Amino acid sequence: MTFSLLPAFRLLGILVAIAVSIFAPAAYAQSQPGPLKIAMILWRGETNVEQGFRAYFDENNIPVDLTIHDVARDLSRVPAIIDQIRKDPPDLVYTWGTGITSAVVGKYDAVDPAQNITDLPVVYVMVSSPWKTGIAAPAGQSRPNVTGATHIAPLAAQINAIRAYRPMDKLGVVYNSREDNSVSNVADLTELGREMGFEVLAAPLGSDGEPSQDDIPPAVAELARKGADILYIGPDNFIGNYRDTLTDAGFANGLAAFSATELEVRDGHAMLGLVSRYELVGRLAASKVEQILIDGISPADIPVETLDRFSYLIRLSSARKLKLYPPLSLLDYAEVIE
Amino acid sequence: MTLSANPDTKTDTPAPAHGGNIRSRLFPKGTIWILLLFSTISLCIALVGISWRAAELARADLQTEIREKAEIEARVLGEKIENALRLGIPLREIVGFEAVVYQLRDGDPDLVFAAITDMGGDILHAGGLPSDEIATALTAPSGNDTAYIVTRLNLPRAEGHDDIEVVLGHARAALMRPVTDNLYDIAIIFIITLALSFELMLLVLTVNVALPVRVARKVLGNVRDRKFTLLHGQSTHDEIGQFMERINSLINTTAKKVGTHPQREREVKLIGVRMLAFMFVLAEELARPIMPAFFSQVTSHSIDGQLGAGVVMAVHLLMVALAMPICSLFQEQVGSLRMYLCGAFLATLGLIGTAFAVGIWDLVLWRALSGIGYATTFVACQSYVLDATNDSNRTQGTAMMVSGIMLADICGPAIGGIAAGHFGPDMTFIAGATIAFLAVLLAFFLMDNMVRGKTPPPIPTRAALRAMLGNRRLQVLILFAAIPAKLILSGFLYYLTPMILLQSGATTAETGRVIMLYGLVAILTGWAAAKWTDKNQNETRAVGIGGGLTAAGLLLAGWLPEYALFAVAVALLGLAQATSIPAQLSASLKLSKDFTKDHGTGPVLAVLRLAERLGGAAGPLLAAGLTLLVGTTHAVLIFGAFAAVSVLCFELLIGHVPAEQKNEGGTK
Repeated sequence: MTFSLLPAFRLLGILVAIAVSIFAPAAYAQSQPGPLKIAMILWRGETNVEQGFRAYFDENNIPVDLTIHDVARDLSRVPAIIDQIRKDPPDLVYTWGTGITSAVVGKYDAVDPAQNITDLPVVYVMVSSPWKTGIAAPAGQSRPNVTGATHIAPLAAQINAIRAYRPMDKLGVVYNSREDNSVSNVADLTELGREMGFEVLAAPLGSDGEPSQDDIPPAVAELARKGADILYIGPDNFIGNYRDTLTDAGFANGLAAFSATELEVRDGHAMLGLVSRYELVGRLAASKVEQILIDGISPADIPVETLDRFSYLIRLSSARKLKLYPPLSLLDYAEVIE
Repeated sequence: MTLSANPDTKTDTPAPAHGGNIRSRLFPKGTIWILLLFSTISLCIALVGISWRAAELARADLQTEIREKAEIEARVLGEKIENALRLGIPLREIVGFEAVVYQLRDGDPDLVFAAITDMGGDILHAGGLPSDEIATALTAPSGNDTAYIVTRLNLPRAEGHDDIEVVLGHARAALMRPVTDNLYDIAIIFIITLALSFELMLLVLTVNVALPVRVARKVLGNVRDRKFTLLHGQSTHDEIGQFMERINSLINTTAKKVGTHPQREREVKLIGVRMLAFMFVLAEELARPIMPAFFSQVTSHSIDGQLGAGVVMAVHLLMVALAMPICSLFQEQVGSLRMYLCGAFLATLGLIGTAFAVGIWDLVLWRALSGIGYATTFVACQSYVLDATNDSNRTQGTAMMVSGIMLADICGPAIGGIAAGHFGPDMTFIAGATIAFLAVLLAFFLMDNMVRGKTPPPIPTRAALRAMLGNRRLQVLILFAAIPAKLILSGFLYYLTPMILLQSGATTAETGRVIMLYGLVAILTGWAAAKWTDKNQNETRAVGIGGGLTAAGLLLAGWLPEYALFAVAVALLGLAQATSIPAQLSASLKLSKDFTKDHGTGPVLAVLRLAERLGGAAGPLLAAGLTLLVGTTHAVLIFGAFAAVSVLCFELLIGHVPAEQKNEGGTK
């Protein structure tokens, strides 16, 4: 009697093929054991966002190997960092803010593989208007390697938050006209003003060259003269850098400031804000990293999201300075910072 | 023909000669009014006494409840103030106190004002009322005659600061709120209690006193005339019965001596049909205010709920329209009692099934069953009256049945609305089923089995249909007055009104009250409208006025869909139908007088009724379709426009088309 091994090998081959198809890593899922290698490109060092990002992995016992690349508020350093990343590719790239993200991934319809990262998954944070700035693809389309977490509350909710504190008919906005996200945000506010019955008094800076810190106080004074009820601080890196100059100019002119981002209230002197807590934004971004690298879901299938709850912050010292105390009903749910 | 508040439930008996006293048909005669007055006064005294005592008891409980609620509210306000002070906000700089008071008032409408005062009584912050008005209220002497119940809460402050006080003022009128909130419900229940007690008293007195006495009078008159041919056969076990039994034995003894053979004399208990008619209509009308909403909910899984409700209601009315002539055909073989029992049983089954329906198909089945039951009981009562009466008392007999129906038309929606609000729609249908089942039991006692169906109600004969085809004016009357009237009635009153009112936040009790207005206005104005029509002998004008009033009401309600304006529109519809329906009837007989001379009035009336009922069946379907296409409010406007166009066509055509063609209508 003869015994042929051929059918047995065929069977073994089929089983191996099935096993591979089940257990093989999908898209960007980690193929080897060991910590997740993540390259982080940050605007001004680590913030609470990164603390939340780290905390998420710690709490879920997911080992990560984070490499920090700090551009120190200088976007011209980004190409060099990209080259460095290409030499020793991580599992995923993490970017902070509109400027860095835009430089790393480009616009959805104008990607340059030579300058932008296209072969690694990228998760971004602190991009206020990903769709307006072209970082995210429009509805119905997706980017194969890019997703992220935004941090700005819907504009209508921001306006309602201001009006819960005090009546507002004229909103003063000082902004850097050279930043795309600021320009699109002011355009959105102006359009919303027509619906919600308020006027946007815009004071663009930098129309003739780079804006400077000294441009801020006269702009605020002008807004006060025009009858602005409150100053609005949107997602604007320039204003973020000189937030104290803006709020001090506001105090000098009897104007409070509202901020759509956390740091301007928590670390600055804006009187109120409706914000995403940075730590929670970091956790949301970390959950997306987990989906990509552990669960093997493609970034194209992970939606760009914001938090579904926001924090109402009140800085009491600023309120005291302006004698604009918060209404009793706000004290029930606002986080009051001394 | 007798006027009915619910035109769907009119009887098809031949019309009496002109000049009959309509008032006597609607209201009972003679000493019965004294009984009504007596029962009304007794009930009023009892109910007022009970209500007053209940309000007194509730007031004491409420005072405690309001005080406890006020203390909680004061603590809430106090904590907010303390929180602000803790954060370092100066007391006088606190912002938004008034808004917080308004927030509290959202949850407690009895709260009128709140204030923060210092220990000297100076108002630091106020909400609800201006500070000076609060100051006046706080300085008024305390007592039960003040406008506000004032509650104070002391807030101790840190050393170096004076204590402050939170002061709240609640309306003292809140103590009467359980009474005032339910005033309409109390009034409705009061009226219905009166009506029901009157019905019961009428039934008991008629069966136990009036009928035995009437027969006794006949028997004693026979004795007085020395005939000895009648014995008292109206059996009762009370004093009258015992007395007449002795008289009967005397008559028997005397009859033997004179050689006669006396027969037992008795009268048919016609009054029973009034109670039975009342019960079968009440069983159906109870759920009237909640029908569209409930049917929408049940059918929403299968098709659009609003369309589903329209289909279900249309099927019910269609079954009523079709089953009535069919039942009339079988009435003679079956007999009134058995037919009533069958009908009431089917209605019971249909209503129970409706309460537990889970989808459109079983709901359609149950409502169809209810419709057949309704039609069967109606025909049974109608033929019972026709058989139990003769030409001299037929109008009175019909009036008895119609008055039972009218009473149910008024009571049903109002009491059903209240019941639905407290116990839910399914329990309201079960209550209807219980009433229908009670009717089955009562029919054994209230319907005289000696009455056999020998006179079936008129049915739409082929000859009558042919006569109608040859009579242009009758066609105009049916197409532009009779059918639109019923179509609007069922589409607007049964479908759109409850749907819109409930959607706009009215309670089922409020919706029931509005629907009740229709029957109430119809009954109150029916007599005057009929008198006016008889006096002027211009029925077509009355039909036109009715159509105009309907159009005006509907356009008003569609233009401004407010609760009060819907009530006005429904009342106008009641007035319009009371004006138009009896006039349509007289006009139809006048317009076909050549035919009725040979065939009687019955077939023409039956054709008119069938056309009306088919129009009624189309109403909810049309209303549901329009709701789906343009929304409920616009659907009312379109119904109004339809009413206006119909009345316009009627007015333009009725005088300009040729009159009846004698040879065509007279086919035998």
